[in-house]
Amino acid sequence: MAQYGFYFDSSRCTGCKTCSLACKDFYDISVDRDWRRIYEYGGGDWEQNKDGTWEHNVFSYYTSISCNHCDSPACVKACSTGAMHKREQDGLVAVDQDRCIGCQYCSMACPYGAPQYDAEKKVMSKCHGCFERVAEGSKPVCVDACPLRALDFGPIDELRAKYGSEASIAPLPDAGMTSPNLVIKPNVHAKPSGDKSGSVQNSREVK
Amino acid sequence: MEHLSLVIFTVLAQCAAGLLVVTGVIQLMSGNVLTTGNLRLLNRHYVLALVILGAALIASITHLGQPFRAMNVIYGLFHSSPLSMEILAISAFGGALLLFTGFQVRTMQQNALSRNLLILTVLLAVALVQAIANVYTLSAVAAWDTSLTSLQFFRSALTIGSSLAALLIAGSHGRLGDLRAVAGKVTVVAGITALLLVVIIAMTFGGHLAGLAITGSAGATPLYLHSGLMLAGLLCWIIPTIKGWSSFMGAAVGLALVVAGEVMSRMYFYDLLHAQVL
Repeated sequence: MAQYGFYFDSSRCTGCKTCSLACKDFYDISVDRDWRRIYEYGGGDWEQNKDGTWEHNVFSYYTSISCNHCDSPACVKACSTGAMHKREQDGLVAVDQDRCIGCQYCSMACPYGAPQYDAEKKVMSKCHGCFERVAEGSKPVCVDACPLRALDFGPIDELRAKYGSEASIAPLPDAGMTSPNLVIKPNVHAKPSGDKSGSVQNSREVK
Repeated sequence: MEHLSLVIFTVLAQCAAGLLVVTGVIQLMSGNVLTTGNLRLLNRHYVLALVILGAALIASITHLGQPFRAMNVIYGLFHSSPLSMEILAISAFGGALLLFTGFQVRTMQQNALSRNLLILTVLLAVALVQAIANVYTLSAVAAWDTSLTSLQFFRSALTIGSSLAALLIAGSHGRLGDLRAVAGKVTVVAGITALLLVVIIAMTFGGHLAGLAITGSAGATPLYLHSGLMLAGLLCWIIPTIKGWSSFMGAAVGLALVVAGEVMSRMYFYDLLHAQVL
């Protein structure tokens, strides 16, 4: 069966967070959780040239990340009950909330911050790729909601054929860690994974 | 603090493992000087280790969102979830400790079978500490993804385990008889090993965090504070023991300082999770 994944165009994203809010609205997600998080990565400073003039190299761009439904999902390996699982029919990673014991180990193991604890239900929750909508032939809510059309979703082979295979953009970790099914079109200012010249500027929004 | 129950669980579990290792080695090295009286005093260590382990288990269950589903961790064994393996390790260690303690308390003697069971329990205690370390050595958490995580957990087991054993021995008020010399040597060796681990970790962990640009505005000061408390606590009983003095007060103060240092260090460890970028 096809492995599905997300495409994100960082050169189009304005950080409006419509994608995140559409998901929260559709699934009635509480204030403390975000199944899709928009990280503003920025940095830079003023530098003095040899002739005494000053230039700045300040940069900033957005990365909209939900779950990357990885080929080697750290959350599934970590899960102490098998509740976190990769679906065979579409490769999407979802949590069985009837089996989950809420130990939160998956959230420690995931390098993308995807699994999040639902304090009301006392189990884990995460982006599941809107697999019910996908089964009906629709796209995930976040993809349809984006006013800039910066998101896409589909069989990852098709996305990679169309957009390339870049996924190691800061502040994301190197794609070699969990092999995410994610393709990113880098922003003109994009830095590679592991970059230390910038930092997440909106950490209180996304934590 | 978000993960306080895990702080309590890991510190108590490592304490139980450390106490068992130190006491078990004392008994295994005692040869023919074991009397019924000695065994009665050593049994107190084993029973205390069981009680501490029980408290650790209760703390770990309070961390769960769905504690009544705790048995579901069995399913995690099929894909070797580090957390499920940790629960297996604590169950194996707890089971062996219960079996051994039950036998020795009931029979007040040691035979070849119980001696082998004690050796197994000591090995399972070591395996438990490593199993807990395996849970936290995650590539997604840069601050934890280092062999220093294992080292810190073994340090905790030895600092608290040896200090608690020293307190119990000091509290025996000389009733250990011929066993006192062996007990003194083993606890001092364990204590000095713990001391070395405290120093090694104090010297290296700060550098590891600085390399990841994680250290906050306080710099390495918290690490030195935790290590200072542990060092002071260990020396409170190691020095008197080497000099042949029996100081219950020294051991009590030492244990308090070591526990304070270890708990603070473990809270700092869990707080490092928030330094993660995503």
